[in-house]
Amino acid sequence: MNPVYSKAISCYASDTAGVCSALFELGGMTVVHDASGCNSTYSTFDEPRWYNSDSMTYISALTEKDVVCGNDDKLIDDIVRAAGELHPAFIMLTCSVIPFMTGCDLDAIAREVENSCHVPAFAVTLGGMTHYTVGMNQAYCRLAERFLLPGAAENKIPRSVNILGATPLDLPMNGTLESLKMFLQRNDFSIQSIWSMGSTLDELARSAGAEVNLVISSGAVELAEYMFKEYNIPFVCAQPIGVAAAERVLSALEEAIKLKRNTFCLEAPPRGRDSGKKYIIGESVFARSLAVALQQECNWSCCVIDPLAGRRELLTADDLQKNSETELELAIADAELVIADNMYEVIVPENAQMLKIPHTAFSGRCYRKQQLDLIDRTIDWESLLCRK
Amino acid sequence: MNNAYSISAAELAARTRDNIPEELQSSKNLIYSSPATLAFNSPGAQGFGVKRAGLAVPESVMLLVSPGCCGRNTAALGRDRKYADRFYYLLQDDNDIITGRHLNRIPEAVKEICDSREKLPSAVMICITCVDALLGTDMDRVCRKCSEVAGVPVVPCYMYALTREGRLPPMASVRRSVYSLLEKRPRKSNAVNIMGYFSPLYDECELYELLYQTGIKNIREISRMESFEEYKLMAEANFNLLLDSEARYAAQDIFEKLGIPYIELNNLHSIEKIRRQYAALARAIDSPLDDEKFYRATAGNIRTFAGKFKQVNFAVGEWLNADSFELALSLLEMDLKVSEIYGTIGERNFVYLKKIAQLSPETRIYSNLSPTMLNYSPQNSNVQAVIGQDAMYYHPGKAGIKWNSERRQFGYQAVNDLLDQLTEVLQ
Repeated sequence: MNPVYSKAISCYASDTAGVCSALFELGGMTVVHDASGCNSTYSTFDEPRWYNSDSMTYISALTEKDVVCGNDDKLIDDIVRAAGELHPAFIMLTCSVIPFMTGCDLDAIAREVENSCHVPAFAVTLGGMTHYTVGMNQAYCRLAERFLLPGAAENKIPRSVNILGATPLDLPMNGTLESLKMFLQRNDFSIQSIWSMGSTLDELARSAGAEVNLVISSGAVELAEYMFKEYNIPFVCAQPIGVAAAERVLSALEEAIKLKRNTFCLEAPPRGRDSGKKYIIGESVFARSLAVALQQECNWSCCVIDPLAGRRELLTADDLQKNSETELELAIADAELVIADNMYEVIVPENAQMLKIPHTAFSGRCYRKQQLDLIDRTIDWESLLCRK
Repeated sequence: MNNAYSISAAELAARTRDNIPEELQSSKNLIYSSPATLAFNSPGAQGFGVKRAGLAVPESVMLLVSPGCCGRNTAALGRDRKYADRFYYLLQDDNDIITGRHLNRIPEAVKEICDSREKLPSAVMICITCVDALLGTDMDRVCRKCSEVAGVPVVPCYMYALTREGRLPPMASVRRSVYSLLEKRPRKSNAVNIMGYFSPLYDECELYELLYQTGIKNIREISRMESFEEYKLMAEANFNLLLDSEARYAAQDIFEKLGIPYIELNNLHSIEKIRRQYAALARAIDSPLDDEKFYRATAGNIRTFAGKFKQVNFAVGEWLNADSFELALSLLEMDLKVSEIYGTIGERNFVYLKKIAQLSPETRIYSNLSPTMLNYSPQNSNVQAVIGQDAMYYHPGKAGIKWNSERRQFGYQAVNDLLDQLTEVLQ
C-alpha cells in the first residue's frame, strides 16, 4: 500500500510566495488576503531579502468574522488608506486558501481599489495550494499586460536580452545573478531588463525593446510566451550552467534571434554509453540545463524529475514528472546518483551517491549557506559527490 | 517620505482605551509583516509556534494536515535533533477541501505512521489549519477515530490563524492540547506544576527556592519532562502555577478534569509589584515566602544601574519576553528614560499606559504592525539603547538586547538578568 502521508519532505514554496517574490523589488504594494500564516512562511523561510530591504508586502489580517461576513469593504478601505500613505507604483492582490474557498472576487476588489485611489491595481486569485512557479507566472503576466510599453518594441536594441524568472526562490543570492549578467555581457549581449531582481519597474516596462528572452525559471515561461505573442520576442528556457550548458545557451540565443525560434528544452546528444541510473530532481529549466552540463562534461546521462507539475514542453520525452514523496521515492529506487536539494536525502536509496544542490524554493533558509554559483564556470562535479 | 505613525503616551492616555486610534489597532489596517513583527505573524519563526509547541508532549509525533503553504517552514524545525523524525505531512488540495475526503485519510495516515515506527509514539498530535476551522471539521471525532485505529492517544492542535484575535487563539489552544493527555491520579501536597512556557525557567530563578521553602519537593515543567511517564506525573500536582495568561484555558481544563486548582502570576519587572505578587502567592497557598534577600539584592542592582545610565534614552519593543508597556513602566519607575515603545496597546495593558503617561508623557507609542512602519527612521529619534528584537531591527548599531531567549526569566531573576545584559551592552 502506498503511504498516504509524507514522512520527511515538506513541499515547494507556494503560489502566494511566488507572487510576493516576483514583485518584491518593484515598488508596488503586494497584499496577501490571509490571516497571517502564508505570509509568515514566505517572509521567514522563502525570502532572503526580507531582512535587508524594505518591500510593501502586506497581509490583510483576515479574521474569522471577516470570512463569515464577507467584509470586503474593510479590505478595500485598508488598502486605499495604506496606498494613500505610501504611494505604491501598483497594487497586486492575491489570496491564500480561505478567500479562495469562499470565492472572494479579488478582481472586483482590485477594480474598486483602483477606482478609489487611482493606482494601477490587479489581482491573481490563488489558493496557496499550487507551486511558486504558478504564482510567479501569473504575477508576471498581470504586470506585463499592464506595464509593458508597446513603443519599445519598435526600437529593438540589437543583441539585447531580458532575463526572465530571476527570484531568490530559484537563484541563490551568492553572486549567481552577477555571473549570469557577466556571461551575457561577455558574449556581447546587452541586458535590457531582469524580471525581477535589480531592475526597476520602468526598466521592465521597456522590455519589449529586447531581441530575445532568456527564461531561467519555469515561473516565467508564460511571460515569455506573452512577450513572444505580443512583441515577437523569441525565448530560450535554460541556465548557462558549467561550461557545456553555457555554450548551448549561447548558441540557442543566437538561433532564437536569427530564426525567431523558441527553445523550451535544452538538449544535448549523449556522448557515449553511461551505465547506472542518475536522476536530477528539481525545477525543470534548471534541472534540464544541469542535465546537459553533466552529460557533456562528465558523460553522465541524467533523467530529470520535475516535482512541480510544470509544463511538459520544458522536459525531454525521457524525463519524468512526479508529485509526491512516495512517487519520487519509487522513481529513484534504482538510483546510483541523485542530484537534488539536500532535503531529498531521506528518500535517496542507501547505496546511492548524492550531489546536493540547495534550492531555496524547496528547503527555504535551511541550506542557504551551502548554495553554489554554477553559472558559466568550470566545475569539478566529481568533487561535489557525497555518499548518502 | 511619510513618517511612521506614532502618538505620545499623554495623548493616547487622554483618548481612553475605548478610543485607541485606528493606526494602533491591527484589526483596522493592513499588516506590515516586517522582520520586526514576525512574532505576530509567525510565532514559530523564532520561539514556539503551534507546531513546535504541540510536540512538547514527550515522545509524541505530529501529523500536519494542511495546504502546502501552511506547513512548509516546518522543514526547518525538522533539522533540530529534538524534532527530527517527529513531523509528518498530509497535504490538502482543493479536492480535499471541497469534498472533505482528507478526513478519511487522516486515520489511515496515523495508523501508517504508528506502524512505521520502531516504538509506538506516546501520542499523535494532529495539527490542522484555518481550512478545517472554516469547514467546521469535528476534530475531536476524527481524533477518536484515529485513536481507535492506531491504538495511541491522538490529540488535535488547532493552528487556526483566523482565530488569532478570538476567544481561544492558537497558542492558548495548543497549551490546552499538550496538557490534555494528563489523567487523574492522587494529588500530592508537595508537588506543583509551572505552566505557561514551553522551555524551562532559568535554574537561578528564585521561584524554585521560594516554593521549596514551603515544603514543595517536586516542581514540574513540561519542558523538563524527558519521557511520557514523567509527563504523566504532572497530574499529581497540588496546584498549578501559571506564568503566562495563554495557559489559562489549559489550567481551567485541568481544574475541571483533574481537580487541580491554579494560581496565575504575572511576568513583572517592578520589584515592588514582584514582592506584592509573592506575598499574594504566600496567602493563596497559606505558607510564608521569604523573598527579602532577593528583593534587597535586586533593589541594589537597580540603584547601581540607574546611577550609571539615568541619562540613556531607551526604546522598548514587542518581540521580547515581557509586555512592552509593563516593561517600559518598570524602567520609568527605576528612574530611567523610555522615549519610544513599539507595541500593541489594548484592554490588557492600557493600565500601564496611563501610568507611563504620568511619568513620561512625551514617550512615543508606535504600532509595529502599521503599514507606515515601513517609513520608520531611526534618524528622527533620540533612542540610545533598545530592548527587544524588533527594537534592535529599527535601531541597527545601537546598544541593545533581544530579551527574547527561549529559556525564560521570571521575577527578581528577570530584573537582575535584564540589568546585567543592558549593562554589558551599554558599557
